[in-house]
Amino acid sequence: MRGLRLAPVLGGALWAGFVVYSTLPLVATTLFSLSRRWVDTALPEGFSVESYRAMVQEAPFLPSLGRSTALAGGTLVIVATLCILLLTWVHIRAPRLGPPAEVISLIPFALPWVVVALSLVRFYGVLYPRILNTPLLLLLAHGAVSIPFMYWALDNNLRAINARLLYEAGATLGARWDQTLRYALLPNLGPGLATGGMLVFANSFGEYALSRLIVGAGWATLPVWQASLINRDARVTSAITVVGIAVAVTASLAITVWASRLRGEVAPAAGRQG
Amino acid sequence: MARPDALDRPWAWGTGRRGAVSRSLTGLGPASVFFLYMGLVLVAPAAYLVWSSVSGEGSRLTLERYSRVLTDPFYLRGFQNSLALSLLTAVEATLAGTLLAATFAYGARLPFRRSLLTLTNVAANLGGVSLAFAFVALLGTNGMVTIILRESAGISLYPRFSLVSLAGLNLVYLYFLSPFAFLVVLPAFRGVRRQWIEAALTLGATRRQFWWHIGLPVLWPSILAVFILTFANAFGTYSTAMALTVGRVNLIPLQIGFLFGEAAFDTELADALSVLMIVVTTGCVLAYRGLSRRTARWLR
Repeated sequence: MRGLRLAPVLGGALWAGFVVYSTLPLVATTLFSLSRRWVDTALPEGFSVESYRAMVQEAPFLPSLGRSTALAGGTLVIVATLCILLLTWVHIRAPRLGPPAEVISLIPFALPWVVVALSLVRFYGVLYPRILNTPLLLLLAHGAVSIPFMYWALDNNLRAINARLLYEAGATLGARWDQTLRYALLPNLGPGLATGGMLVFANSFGEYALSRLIVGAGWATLPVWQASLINRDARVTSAITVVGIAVAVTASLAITVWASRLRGEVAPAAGRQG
Repeated sequence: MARPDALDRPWAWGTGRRGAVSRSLTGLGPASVFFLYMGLVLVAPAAYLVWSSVSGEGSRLTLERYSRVLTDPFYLRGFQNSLALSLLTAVEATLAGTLLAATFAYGARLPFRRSLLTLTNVAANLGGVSLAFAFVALLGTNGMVTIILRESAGISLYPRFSLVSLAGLNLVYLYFLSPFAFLVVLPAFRGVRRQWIEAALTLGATRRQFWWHIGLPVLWPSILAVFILTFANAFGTYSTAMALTVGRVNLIPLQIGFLFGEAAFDTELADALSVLMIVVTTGCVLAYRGLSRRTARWLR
């Protein structure tokens, strides 16, 4: 079935253009990070791993890498816990909570993250000023804005395995609630948790707006440090960028593998803000 | 189905006293943790922002900040830039995403379909500081394309083009919003079944007639929905714009970020700007929800 007549030519050209556009910036960054000198020649004058060595030797590198990793890990734990508690309950016991939960899970789309940061600082500045400028507030913010990634993945997963039926089967056989959750539900939630989890981790790891506005240089994450270097040291920035892109790309690749086991494969991509 | 009583209330800890509040909380069960968390971290602070933007001295209501924001040429310019950039980006991204989806679903016999799908996923998930720098490495004053054009063809991109401009931001936003639009609209194209086309052709319709009378009417809500989502996304984008321009372009999210720094100075102004942004993006999300309900029935 051929569909549109022009499609073969148009489609091929369009996709070729897309592939070039999507890969060129990545190629440029990688080449730049590996080049020795590249100013007045069409191609780099030579290659070296000097920028990576420089990156590792910078004092802020390891601490900021550690902070970003810890932040992303903590966010993942919060988001997974919240979503498992919410969605198993909604699917099994309280379907009427589904619509309100869905509306709430859409809030991170409706609020630009710069607005989320401002509202947190203003609200807790009045209510509990001691939490301002702390990583804890940043972690709470990341936990909230990352909800959609996990929500959609887990929601699709629970629907696909027909969680309610599993629960009722367990109940009929005399299993306690926690046994059903542990032995019947959780083992089947692997694809959803993995897909959502990778998105949550990658998003939190590379997140800049909230990190900059809530804690800033006081607790510089990798992207905050990276942004402060953009106009200062292009070599080191290029190396960090390759690290950042590698994390994001790894997550995306893992997701497309795991997501094929879920039916709602594209929904999770919709949550991030540039 | 009858359930044993103990199973009926797995999380009903400590329900000795049964006030109205505790009853409604146990009704929410473990889901209450989620609602409480989102309420404390997103809903209450946002509500406070709205309240704070209109509360004047002595708890009187005032629209003074809004009139100040909406008559200040600087902020008006910011809104104009933000809206123009998001509109342009959304039109382009929707067009690109729709064409990509159409050719992916019906047209060209594309090689490596799985890899292409993966690539769109990767691109849609890039953004922020790393993407901003990747474009500096590509098109900055010493970027790859700039250098190659200069050294091998004698063409100088600068100063006619600059990455630190609305046009530059447009290019960078398109990088993640086109594949994003593609991923969101693709299911709608899968909803237009090949059998429908075959049936129409069998009954003597032309392809053009099919797309005009059936294909497009089924697809347009999805395409409009994608347009709204990409618009809202571009409108709210802070990270990419800030990392790339360091605030040298007047956009509303960046202005809100700047007002932060001078916290004690004019916070209510930032509140008013934020509420105006919330109005725009919330309108978008509500419209999107309405539209996706409309399309959901075709996508089963």
